Amino acid sequence: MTTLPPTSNPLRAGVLEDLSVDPCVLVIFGASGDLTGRKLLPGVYALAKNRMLPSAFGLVGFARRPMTDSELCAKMRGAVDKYARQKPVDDLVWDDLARGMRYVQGAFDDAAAYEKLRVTLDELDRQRGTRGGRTFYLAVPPDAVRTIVENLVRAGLCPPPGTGSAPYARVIVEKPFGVDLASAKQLNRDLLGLLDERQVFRIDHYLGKETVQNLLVLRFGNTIFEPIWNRNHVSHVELTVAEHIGMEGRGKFYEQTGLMRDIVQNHALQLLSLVAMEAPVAWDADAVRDEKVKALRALRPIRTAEEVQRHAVRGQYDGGVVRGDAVPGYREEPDVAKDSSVETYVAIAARVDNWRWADVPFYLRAGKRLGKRVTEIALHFKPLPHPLFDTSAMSLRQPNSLVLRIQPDEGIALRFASKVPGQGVAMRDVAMDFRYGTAFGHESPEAYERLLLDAMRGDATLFTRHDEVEAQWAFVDPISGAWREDRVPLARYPAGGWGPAEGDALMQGDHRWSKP
Amino acid sequence: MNTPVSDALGRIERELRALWQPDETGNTKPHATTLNLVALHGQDGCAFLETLEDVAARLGARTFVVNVDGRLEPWALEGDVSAVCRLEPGSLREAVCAERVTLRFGSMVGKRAASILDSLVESSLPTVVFAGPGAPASVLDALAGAAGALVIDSAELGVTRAAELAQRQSAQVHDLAFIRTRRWREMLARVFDEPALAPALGRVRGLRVLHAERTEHRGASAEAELLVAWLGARLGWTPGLSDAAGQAVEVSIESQARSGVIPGCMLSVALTAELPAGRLSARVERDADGEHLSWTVESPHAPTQVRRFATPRRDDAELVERAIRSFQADQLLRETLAFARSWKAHA
Repeated sequence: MTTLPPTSNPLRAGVLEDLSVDPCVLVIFGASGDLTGRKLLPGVYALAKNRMLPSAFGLVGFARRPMTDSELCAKMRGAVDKYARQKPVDDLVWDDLARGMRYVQGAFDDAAAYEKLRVTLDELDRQRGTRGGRTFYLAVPPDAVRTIVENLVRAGLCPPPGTGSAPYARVIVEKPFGVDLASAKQLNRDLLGLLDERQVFRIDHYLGKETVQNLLVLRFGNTIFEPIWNRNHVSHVELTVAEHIGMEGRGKFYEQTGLMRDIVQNHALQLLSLVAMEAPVAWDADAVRDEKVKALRALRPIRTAEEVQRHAVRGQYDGGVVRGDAVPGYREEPDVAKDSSVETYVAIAARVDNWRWADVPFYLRAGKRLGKRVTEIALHFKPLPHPLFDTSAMSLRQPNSLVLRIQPDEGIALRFASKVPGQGVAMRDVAMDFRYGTAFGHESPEAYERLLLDAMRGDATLFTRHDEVEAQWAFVDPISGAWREDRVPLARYPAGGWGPAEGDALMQGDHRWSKP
Repeated sequence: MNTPVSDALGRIERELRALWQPDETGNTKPHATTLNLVALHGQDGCAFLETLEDVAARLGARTFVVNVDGRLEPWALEGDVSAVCRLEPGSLREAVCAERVTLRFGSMVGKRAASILDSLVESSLPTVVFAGPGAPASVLDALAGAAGALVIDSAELGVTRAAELAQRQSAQVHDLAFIRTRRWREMLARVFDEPALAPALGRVRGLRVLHAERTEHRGASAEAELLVAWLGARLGWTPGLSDAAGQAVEVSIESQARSGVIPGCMLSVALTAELPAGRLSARVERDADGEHLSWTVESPHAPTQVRRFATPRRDDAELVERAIRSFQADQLLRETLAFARSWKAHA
């Protein structure tokens, strides 16, 4: 039965604003996987708990493993009990979610399974009033993406916008999006041959973090930062994505991936693009992403082996001590080759070649088994032109920096020099500190909550577009290529430290990595 | 010469300033203030104060708890200043603290409430006035005039007074009673998502709203009245309750004693309308468990549809928090209250 789009019903005006999402069914491919239990279902539950989902909502799990609807519900309840942000789980909210939960068993390439899916979705439309809204979440390996989308399209479940009877059908694709530039381009060609770009939501969960979104508000929602956000005032930019954990059972995955593809190609470059981008002409998905792509394309290529050696460092951790515990080196981790040359640390001195950022180094470092888990961006401002006071301490010669903490303790700190109370003019650097948790008095939603909600609302601002993904690969591919051919040595660092000495040597002049 | 009011105000200001001074060990309490929350209530505000406690903790607000106390001298002003701290989960460590100022006005001082509060609020932050049960009208009017947002509850003030406030104040008005009807409005809206049933929107013939009994209170049927007014405003009814074609709409609001449901809360809505092929009948009803709504639609176009949905437990603190956080004017509420005002005047 066809249904009216919500906006043509005068009683819908204002009512849906609160609920945020039009009626819909969320279909998760790979429903028996780890991501579904750890992130997606807890995210859906949190949205339901916080009344961000419409009452007309359904959830369908699709996977190869045989399972009944009630087995799926029980499994998901277990996961939500374990991983939910707000505990204990509210039975009333959960029971309502569970009533709209279905399972479809099938292989990703089995056309009959998609017919079963279609029947299940129609049934949910009738039972839950979901009115044909569909969001497909592909929590599957990259090589399964094309097959699933082909079958969805063939089964008539993913009509392009403006055609067919469904109000909308969207597809969320998990990273990694390709393994290099060529494969990413191929995947984009495949997807965009079947879907409209407006239907494709490439997820990078870093963009769902509150501080990452606030970076845009900080820059473009205030007047005081933008005038100094350029080469005239900024000396250099530091971007750190550090984890203290090692492989945690992901040795096999890491041997194939390495840190460049796991973190730098996506998270780190996304953060860089948000720092470096120009103001978008409007707050909409395409305007924001247009500017991010321009910033990514302005990255100075690091192509030759000599350039790679000069501007990039790869490292791998040895055994060491992390948070008081002795930990093994990367090569001692399970499923890791004893002579592995896979990088667990990357540092890059990048340049953004445009008018705003000419000559300003962007230092990126990311690594496993570093001193602590921290992601932050630090803008260091230029030193004083002429010191009036005693600035013998390094920090006082260059006293100002703005630190944006992405995780943990999301917040912003502005460092500046202050007079120490008392006689004379002694100076000390102090910080004005803003913390999300304290200022707003409640926990920020998990990144997946925000991104699921945005995808269901059709807002792609926090998702990466095909040209962004390709620009990211275009920057990292030549560096990875030089490393793969072993034309650049692999530096070593002890677990628990802040990376190899070679990483420090990347910094020019008196620039130093700050200790987060 | 200082008056008792300015003396008391001076002391409160000093205490506020001293609140975040380092203690004898040099430590200061971690504190954050994101807005000024002025809560005005009458004498019997226990439940209201509990809600306020919750809201203030969630928002990190500089909170003023204000009432007019008839037992005080007319020109007396009493006040206490304290820090209210949230503890880090699972520990006794203070995560963050905010200021709490309790103000008790003598009957004459109440008239100067706006001026007193003006000296005490953090002027760089937005001010929200939250009107509780028994909030004195003149003080509420004075404070609302200086606020950026006003949170009221028609179930306490009555719909007529709420409409009056919404019309007069430039502040963004949020009505908790209206927010509580959201799920009911959504349930009614979904009846007409079906294209075959949409023409019935212009031919509603009857609306019967039942709410839990609440004796002798001006806001007893506020939620029910707001639901009617919302439909009337959305569908272009006249204040005399006729549709656009001049056909009368039979509206009834009744109450029923029901245990386990908060007095005044909605129990059911039944709507009838005409379709070319016959009659449409839609009913939304609170189940006996109080936690689910049943939605039933009968029409000539499809077999009877019955669905059941969970309805969240009432949590006033959460409603207030959501209203304050929205920082947006609720145009739908203004339209609804405007309709309610003319409808009630007509009646």
